[in-house]
Amino acid sequence: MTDRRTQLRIGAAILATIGILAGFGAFAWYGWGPIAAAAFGGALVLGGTLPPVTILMLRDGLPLKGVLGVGLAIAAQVAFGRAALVRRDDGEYEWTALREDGSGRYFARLADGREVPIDAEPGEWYRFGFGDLAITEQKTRTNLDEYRVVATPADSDQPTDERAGVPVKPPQVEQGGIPVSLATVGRRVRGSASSELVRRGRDKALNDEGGMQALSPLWTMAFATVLLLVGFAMTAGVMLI
Amino acid sequence: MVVLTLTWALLGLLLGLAGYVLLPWILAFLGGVELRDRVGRYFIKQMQTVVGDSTLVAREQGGVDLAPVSFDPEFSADRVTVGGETGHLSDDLNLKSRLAGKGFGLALESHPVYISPLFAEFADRASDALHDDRLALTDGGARLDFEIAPDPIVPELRGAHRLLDGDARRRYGVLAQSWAEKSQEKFGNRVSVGQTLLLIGAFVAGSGMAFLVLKYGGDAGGGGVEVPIQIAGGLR
Repeated sequence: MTDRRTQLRIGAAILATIGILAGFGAFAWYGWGPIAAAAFGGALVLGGTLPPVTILMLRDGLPLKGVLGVGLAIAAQVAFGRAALVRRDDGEYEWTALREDGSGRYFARLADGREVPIDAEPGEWYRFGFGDLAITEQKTRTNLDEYRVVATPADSDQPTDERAGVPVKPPQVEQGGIPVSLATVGRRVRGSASSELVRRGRDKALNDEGGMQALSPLWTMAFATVLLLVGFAMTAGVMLI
Repeated sequence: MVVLTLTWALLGLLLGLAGYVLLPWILAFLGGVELRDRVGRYFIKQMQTVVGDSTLVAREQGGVDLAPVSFDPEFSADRVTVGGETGHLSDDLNLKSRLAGKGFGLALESHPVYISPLFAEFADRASDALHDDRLALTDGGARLDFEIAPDPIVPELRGAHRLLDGDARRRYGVLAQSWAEKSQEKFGNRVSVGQTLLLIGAFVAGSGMAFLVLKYGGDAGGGGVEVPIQIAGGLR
């Protein structure tokens, strides 16, 4: 995976880190005794293991999870430098490093080894967490066949059909792309962004706060009767004592 | 001595906490793209573990923002707060899926729908085709085909709403609830003023009846006729 030179650099960095931390420990021992050095070493290990163990134990039960999540996303973006958020042809997302080949073309490598070429310029990328982010979707037969126009009978610009008085050109590939049927897409998006949310919000408000919560006349009369008897009994009791 | 030991412990703790992020970063920078990828994916997995269910929202003013979501059963949609404004996201297009094993989806700040990069591209290219008269939209159902790029592109996610059927906004559910609550304020009280007066009146009436009965009706018990009797001491 990594060449010899890179392995050496990583090894040197790890050794340097261990050396610096050991130097801190030795300094604590020399100046303040073994207890200070032990406290430093123990707290160092605790500090290093605390975040992953806490995340593993509490998972999404952590307080301020939105802030922590964004912090971790920024940490990931800084590590990636340039990242790609790819929706695979099976619908799952992968957040991975954005790579560049020798000819300057960008691509993302999925976990299963497949490569997704990304036809975009750096200016089109999103900025997120101190890094660039290319948000895209893999295009294969698996996820495109549903929308693809199967038959492209002609390359002519001449109308072959007329609907409602409008001449309609035959489907054709003009730019070497993938012809897509808007009718299929339209069927898929039908009913989206409807007023359903409005209805649910209104229903919830009426259920929780609506006029139906008021005391009914029947219950009012029942309570009035009870209060009349209570008033009678209390007054009679006071006067008889 | 104790204070100094605690100071060293605190220093160790801070270095350890910093090492959780700094050490992987150092390895990523030194290790090339392969190690950058592994380190980044590790943090993404940690992020999804913490957040649980999240969305990357395309902001109306551009850019994207990560936000945790939680399912709101009363709206049958995910509740999300973006830029301090709470709203809902519905998976009308069945496009929400998973990232690192946890729920994840792309969404719009403006509209209450999960989208995908492909649908954003559909919206973009269909709009272009319509503008260039390559797309015939008629009531009669004309041929409606257009063309997308052969390779994946980075589409403008904000424009994906152009493909949606309706025009409900992300905050409409919350706003409808708020407005409906306001409209019910006059009816929201469980007991009205008239009902309160009636209940107080019932108590007062009960007390008054008891008072009257005991004050004026207490000596009437037994019935019959009262006959005054005078006992004389005797006549001499």
